[in-house]
Amino acid sequence: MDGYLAGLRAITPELTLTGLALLVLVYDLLKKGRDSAQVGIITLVGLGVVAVQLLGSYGAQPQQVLGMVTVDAFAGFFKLFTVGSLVVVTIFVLADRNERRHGTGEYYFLLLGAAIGIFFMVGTTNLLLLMLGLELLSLASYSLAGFHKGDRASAEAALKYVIFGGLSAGIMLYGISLLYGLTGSLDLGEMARGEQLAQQLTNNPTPVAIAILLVLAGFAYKVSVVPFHFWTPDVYEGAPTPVTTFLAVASKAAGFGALLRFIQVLFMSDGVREAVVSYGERIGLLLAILAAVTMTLGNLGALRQSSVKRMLAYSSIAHAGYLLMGLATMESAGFQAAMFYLAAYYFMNLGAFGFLLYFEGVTGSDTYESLKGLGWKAPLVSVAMVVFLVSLTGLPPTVGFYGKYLLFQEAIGGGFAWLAVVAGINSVISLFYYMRVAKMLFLAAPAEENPAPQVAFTGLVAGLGALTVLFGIYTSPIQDWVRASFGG
Amino acid sequence: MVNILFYICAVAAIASALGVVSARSPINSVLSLLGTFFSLAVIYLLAGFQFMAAIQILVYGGAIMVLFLFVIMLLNLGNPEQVAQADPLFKPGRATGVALAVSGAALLLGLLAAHALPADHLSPVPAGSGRAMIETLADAIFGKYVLPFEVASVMLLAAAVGVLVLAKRERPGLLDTEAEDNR
Repeated sequence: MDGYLAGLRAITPELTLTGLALLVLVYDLLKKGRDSAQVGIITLVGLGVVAVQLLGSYGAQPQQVLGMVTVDAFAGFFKLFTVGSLVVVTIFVLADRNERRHGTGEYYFLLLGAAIGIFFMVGTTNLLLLMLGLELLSLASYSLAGFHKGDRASAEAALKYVIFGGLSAGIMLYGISLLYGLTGSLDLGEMARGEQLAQQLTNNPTPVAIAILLVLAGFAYKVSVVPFHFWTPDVYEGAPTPVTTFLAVASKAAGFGALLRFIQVLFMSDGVREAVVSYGERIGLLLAILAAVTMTLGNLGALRQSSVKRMLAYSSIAHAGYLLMGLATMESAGFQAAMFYLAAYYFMNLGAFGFLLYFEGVTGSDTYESLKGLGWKAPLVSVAMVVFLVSLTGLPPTVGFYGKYLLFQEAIGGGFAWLAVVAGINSVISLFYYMRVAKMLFLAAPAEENPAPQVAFTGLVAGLGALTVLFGIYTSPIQDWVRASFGG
Repeated sequence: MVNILFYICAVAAIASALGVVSARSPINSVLSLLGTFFSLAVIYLLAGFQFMAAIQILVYGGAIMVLFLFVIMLLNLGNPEQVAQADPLFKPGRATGVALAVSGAALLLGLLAAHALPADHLSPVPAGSGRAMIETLADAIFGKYVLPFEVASVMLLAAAVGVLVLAKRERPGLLDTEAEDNR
């Protein structure tokens, strides 16, 4: 009983988040859906409380509670990341000029529900809980993608997302059931240390290979890696922009968090059998090939878009490829580089989507054309956007540059020099389409209309831009944090 | 005996699952789904989970299936003129016949299995442990797996709210009441 209570104490942030989600739901019901902005404010306050709890438990001894929840610095990194992106997304929802002001209370509930899913996804080595967390995140995301149900594109996005998501969840679940059948355990640690998996790998590796491939396919869908990326452009374009931001930042990071933990515990943790470790290196090669294909296809796709939102969707596919570079090394340093890049990705992508949302509110459109000359009308947001674009390309002096530098260094050190060359060529390609936005903003003749300024929102986007530069020059806080989160 | 029964049921389950996605009329799809549920119930029985088998038939084969049928009937009745012109809702064609035959056969096989199998095969609980099967199940759900159980409940709540968001009608009245409040 005491163990149980101690376990509940250890998962206080999860419980608070669940309580907050229920509070938001009930409050919205009592208000009969009027003045949904109040619900958003409650969400922000609650998220602040969760962030304080997470920071308070920072640096505590890693422990496993309730039989399957791992509370450690690694989970803490991704939980704080999630709360941080959720705060920004909530502000986006509040600032979204295309959103109804009433009857949108469920928006916040669904966002919080997705966050609870992420918390359990990144905080477990148990495949059952991992799957449940993943499904909670997915189910909430499906309905969020279709939140503007009157809008055809939004309805289409939700439907596509559900169908591809259901398929990939089935594939992943099948892989997990095979792993369970082969090893008799649902816990990754037990699997890696136990005899069955090692024996199976030495005698007949095919079933294990199939099982691991199926599980990886599920992850590949969540982080939109080729060949499971087809849903990304349509869903990102059709979903309301704050939801797209959530999918591109929080959901993708959660997928990477769970994938990192999956690979780390199964192939790299202490006490893993020889046969399993050597098998992991082959997985590394597979990830390297996927990384090369993903970044190339993502960048080539982004070149041909006329909508900035769709371009950002392809760019997020390309970035999944860059991140996979770090995973392919199968070494702690590579994983740390990937986590650093995720932190960089947080600033530059939240900022880029914030910019997009700002100008959607002004022009009601997300095409390159509609941005013509607007840089002179809203200079602060636009200059910040140029910073984000420079960072997304990976040029100094931004945080994106340093993240990419780390990834290149680790890839070359891990024996994937060819991958670094491919990534370099891809970065040059990406410069082309990212800079098109900057060109439209500043080098084209200004349009007639005068946008009404959103002061607070401008401040948020400009702040993200400032942080992108600040952490590009002064990288040690993020680096220390990443190193502390991924010890080993 | 067990193996043969398993393979028959596995093939039946896959065949009816294919029927679900390939049938043209929704009613035929639902009936094929029934075939899958019944075949799965027999497989549970063969694995020694009588309770799961019974629940599978009661909850899925019974309640959920009826719900599906209701929804299909109600949706098709949306426009009376269309319904009058359209084909009859339920045409007992060949696919329906096959689906019903599969479900019936699966049920029969299940009964057969329940009678023919030796008693110890039907129980994963060691004989003489003095515990019933449902107790072991309850122990697992509310003991070792209580957290996944609770997470699943949050997941269902999120799914229910999500469906509500997508399905509820827009209320144009909301904005009007707001205007009144401001006056």
